[in-house]
Amino acid sequence: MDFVKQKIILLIILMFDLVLSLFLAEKYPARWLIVIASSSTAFAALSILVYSRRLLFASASSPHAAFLAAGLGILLGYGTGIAPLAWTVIIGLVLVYTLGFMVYRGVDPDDATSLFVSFSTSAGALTVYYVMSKIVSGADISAIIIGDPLLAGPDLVKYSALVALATVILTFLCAPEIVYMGTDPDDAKLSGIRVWLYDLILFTLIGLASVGMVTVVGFVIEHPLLLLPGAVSVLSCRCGSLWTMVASIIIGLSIGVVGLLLAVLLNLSPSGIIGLLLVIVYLAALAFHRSA
Amino acid sequence: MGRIEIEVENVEVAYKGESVLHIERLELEGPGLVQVLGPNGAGKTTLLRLLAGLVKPRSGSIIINGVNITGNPRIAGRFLSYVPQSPPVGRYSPLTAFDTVCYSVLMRRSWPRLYCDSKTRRLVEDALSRVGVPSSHWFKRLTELSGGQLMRVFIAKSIAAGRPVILMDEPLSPVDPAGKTGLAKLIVDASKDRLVIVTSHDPMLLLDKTKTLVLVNRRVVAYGPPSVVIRREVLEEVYGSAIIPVGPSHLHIVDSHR
Ligand SMILES: Nc1ncnc2c1ncn2[C@@H]1O[C@H](COP(=O)(O)OP(=O)(O)OP(=O)(O)O)[C@@H](O)[C@H]1O
Ligand SMILES: [Mg+2]
Repeated sequence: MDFVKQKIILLIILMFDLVLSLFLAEKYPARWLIVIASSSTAFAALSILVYSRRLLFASASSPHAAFLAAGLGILLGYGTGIAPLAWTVIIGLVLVYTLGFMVYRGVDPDDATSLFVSFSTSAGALTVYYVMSKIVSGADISAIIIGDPLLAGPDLVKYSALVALATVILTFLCAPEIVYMGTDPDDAKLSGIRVWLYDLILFTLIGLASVGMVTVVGFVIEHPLLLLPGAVSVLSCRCGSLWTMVASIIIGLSIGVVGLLLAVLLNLSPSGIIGLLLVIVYLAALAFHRSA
Repeated sequence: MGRIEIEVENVEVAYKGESVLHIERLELEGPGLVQVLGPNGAGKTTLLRLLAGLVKPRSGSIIINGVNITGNPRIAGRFLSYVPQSPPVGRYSPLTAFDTVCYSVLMRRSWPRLYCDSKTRRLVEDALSRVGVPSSHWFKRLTELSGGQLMRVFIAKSIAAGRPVILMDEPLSPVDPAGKTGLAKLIVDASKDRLVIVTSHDPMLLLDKTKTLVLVNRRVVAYGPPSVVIRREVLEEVYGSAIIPVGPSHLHIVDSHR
């Protein structure tokens, strides 16, 4: 398929997304649409960066950091009166930076990931168990694990929209550097760009998105959301890096809104449906890639 | 691009405590062609990465035109570009061959570096044509290129970078015999106004155009004009029993790759 055809297909899908979004926003509370569209867009934009920068370990780790941070956020929010979301984001960023710093200082990404995931899940389990028995209801906790966009409050709606916007803008501004760092790390260093700065931006965005929006899709489904849209677009799009990124975002957004629609129509878990749709699209892309 | 001078002093490189390269003193001056020779594991790649600031020595310093670049690729990159022995294929990268060369040019410009403008495109097209990558391969992903084509793309990148020094690690090894002559000519041309430092297991191909030979075997054994460096005792230290005397004034080095 040539560039032009692919671009036309992408535009058609985008139009379809917009129509569907309008319908969803009219028929159901707009905040459902906003949190789902924001999180799927932000994750899809990051996905292509994570994928081409070969930071798959980071995308495997940060949702686990989100699990711990969200538990601690509720605990500290209860104790201090400061919004739990603020605590969650701060703790999550500290955790994600720690991981990034370990890898930056030469710890093998696989070792760092094993250590990091083990620590955050165990500490997370302790925290969540405690919080659940003492402070909040099961619904708040299940939102952390499997997500519940329908519970999103005004804080989370604003936060999601802002983070999605920042992520998309920064992704476009920093993508050439980050993608090139993944393609030829030595030449990226020689070219004079500040490699550490771009990594810091990327880790910050991963942290802000995966930790802050954890209750929208849940930490479990954050994994495929961070991994698959980029993989799908790199597999199926032969249209230069800029358009591969656009494709990744459009794929993520489409799956988000279609998933939300199916979920409310069928009364099923939105994140579960979104995850399954991602898998189906990924398999289709693999088949397409094989046959092409 | 004018005169260029690299000075290496008292450098010791070690991996995990094991010393792999020792350089008491090495001075290279451009423009011109420098060939680095030595058997497998001699430290040729290590030497090039050292000059690029990508390997940090345990001690000593590397000065380029008066600037200390030791262990600092960002500063070294102002003077040089580097072609690795096995170029990374970017298994997960969305970049095509064309994009890769274009991005490498963009990275050397100021921010923002959003897309390949028409001026840059012409530069990239020119570089890719010069190294003999047919235009039918320009828009393939790096993973879809053969070893020789990939090497050519990376050589194109190093030329397009426009720096006064180019380091190339065995640029001719993955290239077919017909391509070797063409690329050798390109390397010689590039060395007319630049300092081009290549490592090789086939010194003869470029020998008559070589200004300086550097012989390495865990240390810089000798360096200087080929006529001075090619002596039996020097070659014996580097290549050992792989030296085969052919008549009274001829030596043959058995150093075939792979
Ligand atoms: N990253 C590394 N970690 C540990 N040891 C290394 C590393 N890189 C190189 N070495 C060791 O340093 C020595 C020099 O390696 P180098 O790659 O510089 O050799 P070379 O002359 O380029 O060889 P070849 O002709 O095979 O390319 C070798 O003994 C090698 O085992
Ligand atoms: Mg080598």
